[in-house]
Amino acid sequence: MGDREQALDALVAARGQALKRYAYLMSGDDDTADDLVQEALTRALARRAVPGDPRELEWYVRRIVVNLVVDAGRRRTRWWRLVPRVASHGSVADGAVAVVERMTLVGALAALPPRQRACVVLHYYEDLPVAEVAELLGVGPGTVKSQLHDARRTLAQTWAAPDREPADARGEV
Amino acid sequence: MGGSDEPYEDAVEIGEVGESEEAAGIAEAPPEPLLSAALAVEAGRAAPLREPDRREILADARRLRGQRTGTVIAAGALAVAGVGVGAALLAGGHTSGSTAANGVGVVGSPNPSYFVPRGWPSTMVVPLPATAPPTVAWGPPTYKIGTATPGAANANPAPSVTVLPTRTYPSFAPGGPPEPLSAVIQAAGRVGRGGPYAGVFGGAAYDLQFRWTNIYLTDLGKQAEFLAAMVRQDPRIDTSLARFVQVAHTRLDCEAEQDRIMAVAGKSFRVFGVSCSSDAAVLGVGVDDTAAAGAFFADPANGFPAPGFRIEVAPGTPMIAVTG
Repeated sequence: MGDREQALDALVAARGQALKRYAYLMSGDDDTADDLVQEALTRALARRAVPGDPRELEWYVRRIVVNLVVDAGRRRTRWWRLVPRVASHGSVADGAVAVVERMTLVGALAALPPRQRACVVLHYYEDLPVAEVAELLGVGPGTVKSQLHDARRTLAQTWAAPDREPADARGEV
Repeated sequence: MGGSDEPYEDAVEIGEVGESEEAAGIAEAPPEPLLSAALAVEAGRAAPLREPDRREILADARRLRGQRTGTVIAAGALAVAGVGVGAALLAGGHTSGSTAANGVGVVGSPNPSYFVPRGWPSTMVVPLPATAPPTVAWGPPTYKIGTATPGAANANPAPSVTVLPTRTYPSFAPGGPPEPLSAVIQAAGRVGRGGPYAGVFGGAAYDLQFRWTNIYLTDLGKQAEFLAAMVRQDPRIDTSLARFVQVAHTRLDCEAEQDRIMAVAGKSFRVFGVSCSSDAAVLGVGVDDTAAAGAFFADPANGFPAPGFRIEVAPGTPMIAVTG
């Protein structure tokens, strides 16, 4: 069995489910998360030199998952810019409607822009400091801070936290 | 911009400065521990990982590797061909079909687009001014510690505040950085951002032609140990691709200045974002009113920029979140 196969088997056996949970939060969907993990493993193993250290390989896989999520978001963004040109009136969903109902956390996360979502998952779930999140995403720490700030502001409006009243119920908007 | 190849590395695009959450009608953000705990609970709801298709993964990985190797070979062949053509033009002065006038060969007749003088040397040596201090030091195998005085590279005599009609970005060679170069810049970033070298790390940037990576340090005496730390971070990096350049400020200094600019509130202009150049010398400020912002930052009474920094004001645009 080659080095790549061994590395793949070891990583999947030891960290497969952790990667799945991570991809699930990033994508908000079980099937997409499975696909993300598989694609990320493929790309990580396509490197000329596969890291011998499983932790380093896992780090690459996680980084690739983030990139895939952010790239998919960019493609969607381009599509939504085109929609008004190709769709008739009434066929474009009104984004404001989605904000009226407060969502589960996964739903609220999925509604965030991909980079904000990645920042939230990496910082609040993976517990990475801002500097490491910035490094992983290839942006500056200031960008991460502003993305986290924006994400939390949005989540405050969209997420129905289990032990917290919606802000509008307390007279705040 | 002293020694920097990449003016704006990481733009901080955020909303209007000075607009408080209350004023903006923003609800209270979820407490952080609550958010962390809820994320952990949600993550636990993920179904077990579908067994990855091992054969497909390995086959696709092999195919991707092959594609990349093919791309590298093709790019290399193109580069060699380009160098060959260039050398032929330089050495020959003109080619068949060219016409000559006043000692100048016209290439590409009948539709000439550029000229090559006769007797043009195949190798050109551009003499540098004798007074120019060497500010660049190469990495191993021979450490040439830079002789520049601290701060020489990015404490330049340009005006401290400039108003630009548009934001400018560096023009990198097409094709993107080769993997060995990106490995070097990643290792430099990991070593420099946080940890013991944060106090000397100014930033890192690719050379515009993707020939090497510039690593900006405030103390070139630390370059050897910085490089050693990079090798510990990634033992496979090619250390000959690293160049160390003396700068005046660290990344942390630049980020502090970024924060100070972002905190400017209640002025007659809005700040949409502040970026820090790769050599931690120039702050690019995106605003809605460049004239007002330029006047504000140029007024010494307002205390901008901090000594050794330069500010470039340019039109900015607010970030619009797209949730599609």
